[in-house]
Amino acid sequence: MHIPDGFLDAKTWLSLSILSGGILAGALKGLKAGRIRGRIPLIGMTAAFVFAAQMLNFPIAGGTSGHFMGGVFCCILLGPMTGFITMSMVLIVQCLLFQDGGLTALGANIFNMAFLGSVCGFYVYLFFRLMFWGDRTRPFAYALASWFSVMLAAAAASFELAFSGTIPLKVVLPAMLGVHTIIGVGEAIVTTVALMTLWKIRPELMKVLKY
Amino acid sequence: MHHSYLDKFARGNSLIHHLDDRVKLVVTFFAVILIASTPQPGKIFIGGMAAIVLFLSLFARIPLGYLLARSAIILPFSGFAAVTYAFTIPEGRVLLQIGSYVLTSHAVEMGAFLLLRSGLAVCFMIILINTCPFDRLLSALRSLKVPALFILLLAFFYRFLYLLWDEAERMQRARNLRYFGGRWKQQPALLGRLVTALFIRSYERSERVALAMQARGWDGESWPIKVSPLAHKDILYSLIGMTLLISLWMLRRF
Repeated sequence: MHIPDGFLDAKTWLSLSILSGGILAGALKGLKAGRIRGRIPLIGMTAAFVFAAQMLNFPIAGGTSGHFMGGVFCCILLGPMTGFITMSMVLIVQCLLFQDGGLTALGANIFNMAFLGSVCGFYVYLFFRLMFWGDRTRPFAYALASWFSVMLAAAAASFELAFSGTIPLKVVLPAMLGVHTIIGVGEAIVTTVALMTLWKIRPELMKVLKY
Repeated sequence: MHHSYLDKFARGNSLIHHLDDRVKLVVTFFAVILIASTPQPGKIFIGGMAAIVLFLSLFARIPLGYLLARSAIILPFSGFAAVTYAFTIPEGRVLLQIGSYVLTSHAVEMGAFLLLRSGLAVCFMIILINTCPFDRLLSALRSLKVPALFILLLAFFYRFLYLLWDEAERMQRARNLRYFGGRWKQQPALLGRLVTALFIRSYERSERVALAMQARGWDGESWPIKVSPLAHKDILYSLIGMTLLISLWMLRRF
């Protein structure tokens, strides 16, 4: 879902870059206000973890393979603000080092995947947890949040492409959402299993990490 | 370790490698922004940009095959978008018809153009990262006023990236050795457990690192800014580069 350079026009990428840059600056300011000294290695390490976890892939039928994205995973473990910074860092390094996602599209990619995909996914989780309290609903909340996060990011990317005049909305939206429905199911399974395993084997870790 | 390919040629020894990193960063970003925000560029613009890419890669001794192989990273998304895009242009000779969607010769041309444009932008970024190691890139970003805290976080990230990558690869290899293909339906759940194991390992490592750093008297945040004045060759490079890019941009309609 990383949008490369050349697919968004100037008004779209400029405004999204300013928006994402502003959110990132605010999050960094918030991080600085808190107790950060022990947090810096954790954030750097978690970003490296997301990067490494995205290298692990599993085969899907037909020679394609899927991988884990980890936005909701990070936000649930570290909280939305730290999760957002972590995911933005992953996207920035992917853009600079890997060329996965364009430089001009970086703001759009951060907005789609780190903000909508992770922070909003986290609030879907929180909303669901507040509605249905109790440990039994945990896996459903994880699955729902991660599926929604993928769909939200895909829908946002389609709207941006359509708004740039690259592809009409009625073509790109069904195509993107169709592909990402399946990707979202994969992400939901991986995230739910990962978090439930963590909950089972190291519950104290999840309490330390707050959510 | 299979991942030295990320910035394989970054420690090379050419004139471009020795240029000031800030200059390279700004000129490359400018080129990418120009390419990305020129709607429907002409043949001179595309050809000129391709010539610059070719020249830079020859000069910095980055093999063309490597450049092409690395720029294949854009294919999943761009290919998908270009194909979707191509089916939305009704003008031109009809080549293919699927249901109510038509593919015309004009559309194929436009789709290929879109692909070529993002390919060129990616080539510029690949050349940048292969002539400027990541730590120097971070220093350059710091001297261009990116907050020190963020640079510090990115430096941590980069420091542990290869370590965790190796760990992830080892875990994947161990899984592949013990797991005989199996039912593909079980694969995502298996991946979930791998992810948990990797997370616990990285979390514990981060705790150890934090303690070790505080034991050695780390003050919380510091990132040295190394500002060296621009040499004549840096100024010359940026002037030539900017002039070339701006003149190509003026000729974008042809």
